[in-house]
Amino acid sequence: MSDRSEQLYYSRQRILPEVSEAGQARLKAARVLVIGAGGLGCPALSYLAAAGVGILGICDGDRVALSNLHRQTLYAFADVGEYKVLAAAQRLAAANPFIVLQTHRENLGAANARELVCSYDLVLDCTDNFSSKFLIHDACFFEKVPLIQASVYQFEGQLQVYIYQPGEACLRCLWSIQPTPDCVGSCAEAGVLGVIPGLLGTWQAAEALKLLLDLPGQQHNETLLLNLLSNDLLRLRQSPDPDCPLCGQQPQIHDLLAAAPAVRVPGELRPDQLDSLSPQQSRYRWIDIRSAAERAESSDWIQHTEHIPLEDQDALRALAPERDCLLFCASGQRSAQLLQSLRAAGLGHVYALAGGLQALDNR
Amino acid sequence: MPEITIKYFAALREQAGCSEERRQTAVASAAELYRELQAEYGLSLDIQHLKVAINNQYCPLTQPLQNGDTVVFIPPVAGG
Repeated sequence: MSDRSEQLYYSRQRILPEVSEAGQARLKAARVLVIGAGGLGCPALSYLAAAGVGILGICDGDRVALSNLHRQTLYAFADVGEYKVLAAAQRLAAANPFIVLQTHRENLGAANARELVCSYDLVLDCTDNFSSKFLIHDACFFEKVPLIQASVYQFEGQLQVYIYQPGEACLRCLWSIQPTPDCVGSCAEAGVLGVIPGLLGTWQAAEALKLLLDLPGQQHNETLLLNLLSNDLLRLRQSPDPDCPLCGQQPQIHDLLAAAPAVRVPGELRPDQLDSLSPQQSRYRWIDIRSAAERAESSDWIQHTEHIPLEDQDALRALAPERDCLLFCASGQRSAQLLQSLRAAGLGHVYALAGGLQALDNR
Repeated sequence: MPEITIKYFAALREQAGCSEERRQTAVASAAELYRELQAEYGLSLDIQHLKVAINNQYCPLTQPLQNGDTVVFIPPVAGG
């Protein structure tokens, strides 16, 4: 591919005085990591690749599922079952041959998060759970790599930019400890309109380009809050907290906290705490609490486990005490919530798989 | 009585059944306002899981309310 083609590829953005030749060269020299190639990650990756970010990293351990396609627009129907990082890299490389794509299929945990983020200039958090969001945030804080974080819920989204400089607030200035999974729903549980992660992921890409090109109006010390149903767009100002456990005057967090998936609820078990990862050999009675639709898309071995969907509360509350039960769902959120309520109802023989099936896939 | 505008997000919006409302209230602080709303709508989220912003600035839940304030209660959100 000729230099001339590359020049033409970016010509419409390079004629912007704010971009110009120098800005385009800056983008080409930039290394950006997108963690999570899902609803937020797909549009973020598309626009960063097309804008000419020279080294674009994609980190995700999941495979494409049919229920992803309504919002994860990088993937084709035929990609179902393929690793997201591979399908995404293929699609992006075809769209822009002038950039380098780096894929990271590994599980992101306390052991590797800092090492991963420190080889990039900027990180976009496009993940879908609190454990990952806090882990990535803290890793970026310690490595002083700017982070653009977004989260969505049904018809709404939030976006924050953290640059980890003196006078800047961090995530833990607001949420000093990680919220428990029971105080919010996941996309699988609460539902999400595909355009919401589409909008927020695109917005993350826009903030990334502003930061890389040093454009005016960069977000910091604020939460951008979008409600599609009311068309409200709020910018909530945040001040650094001198008592913040991470960036405050007397920090209490000095390195990444315990390995993900974190066990947050009594009775949650990490994969390494189980006697066997094979339900047939395990002393636990493995119970899939996901919906029938989610289950239908799963691997063969899961079809051999028992299925009691979350809605069937009567059956779940009547689980026989003769054998310890291990509840599992996709990410560990629903199973942890159910575990709490069953334990509160006196079912001491019930356990839940921390991190859900994702934690098994990532092993 | 002071009039306050309240904006709801995420699970709170679902439970309150609207994105925004105006109400006259005699409560003194954001925390008291939340308890009033909790009683009225049966909001399930515990106040300790929430942040509050008044007039687009995050602030402590104990912050006193003034006539004309816009109050936003923000639950944590993690979807992606």
